[in-house]
Amino acid sequence: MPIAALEDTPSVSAAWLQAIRFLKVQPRRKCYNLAYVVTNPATMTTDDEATIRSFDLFAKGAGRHPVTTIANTIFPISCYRNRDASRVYDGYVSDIYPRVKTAWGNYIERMLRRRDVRGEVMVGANGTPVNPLKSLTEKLKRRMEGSTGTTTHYELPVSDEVFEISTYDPVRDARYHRGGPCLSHLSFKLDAAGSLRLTAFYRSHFYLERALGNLVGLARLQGFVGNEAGCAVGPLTLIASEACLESSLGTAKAVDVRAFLTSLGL
Amino acid sequence: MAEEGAEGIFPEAEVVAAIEHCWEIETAGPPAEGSGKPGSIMNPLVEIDSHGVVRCLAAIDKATGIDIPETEAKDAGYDNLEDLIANLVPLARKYFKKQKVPNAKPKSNDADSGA
Repeated sequence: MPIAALEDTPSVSAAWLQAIRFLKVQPRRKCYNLAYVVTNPATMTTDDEATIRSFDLFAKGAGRHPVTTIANTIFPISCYRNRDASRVYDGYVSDIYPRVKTAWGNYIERMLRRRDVRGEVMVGANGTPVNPLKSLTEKLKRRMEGSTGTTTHYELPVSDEVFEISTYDPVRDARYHRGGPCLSHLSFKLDAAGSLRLTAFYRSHFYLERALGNLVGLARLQGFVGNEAGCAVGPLTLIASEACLESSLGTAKAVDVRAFLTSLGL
Repeated sequence: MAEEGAEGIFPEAEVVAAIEHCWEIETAGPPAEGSGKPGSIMNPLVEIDSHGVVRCLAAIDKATGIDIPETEAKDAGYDNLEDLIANLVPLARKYFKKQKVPNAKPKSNDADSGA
């Protein structure tokens, strides 16, 4: 199967459940090039909340992270509580990152800072740290403001390289044979309707342990960029060049995983 | 209850005040755009998540000099101030003993009090 393209789903938890249902019946519970679309990632339904509560309970029993902790590695929602983007752009780096930094899986810091070969924060021509997420959002905002009410709206250069964020760091990640960032690339696009689309590319995606929290974090990141740039949130597309459904997780053995999936109707 | 160690008394009141101040800041003001409405992905899943707890730990450190490691906050989430205080005060007491009274052993119930 060259591409495992699943049906569109309305919300993040529906997408997660569908992907698990698919992976569960694949040989070795894994596949290559899994792709699907969350049509309305800005919403959190009561079903989503119930699924997240179930997952959190299972994760706690397995000694693994809850959805919030995983989602925070992609977008730190508490930094945006007062809708103050500076608390995301700089507050996270000054207040949170120094106390939580790990070598694995902290994607938001990679979006907020670039580092040189010595691991030092790169500084732009204006003397401030290079901040890819801020650059992307501000550029998108300028596009939105410049095109308001005009037909040039439809000529937005959606392939502009500044709309791309790469989270793979060839210096920091070159030594990994295992581990390292699973989320490799984020691509934002403005569609013809003026909605902000996000496509996330995973080099490897673990559906039991990480994917639900990842989807929540990605949807929040998309919501943040859309809000700051002044555009509506469109679909969230996820592509994983390899995806797998773990048979066990932490202290949860295969029988526990089966029971959890059964409880979700899977 | 205040506890006296070799280098002083556990500053419980200061710890609680730091937590309360942090809670006030963390939960103040309008939430993120879109949140507050039913069904928004921007709604926090908990009032104070692990990052909020990290800021609380920093506030406790700043107010009292008690340095609680961030690993204690890794999977934390609180929906009310009472639970936050109930979990962080024993942690502060545990690390106060470790840091201010190097030879003291933490109480067994303190050791179990994860954030």
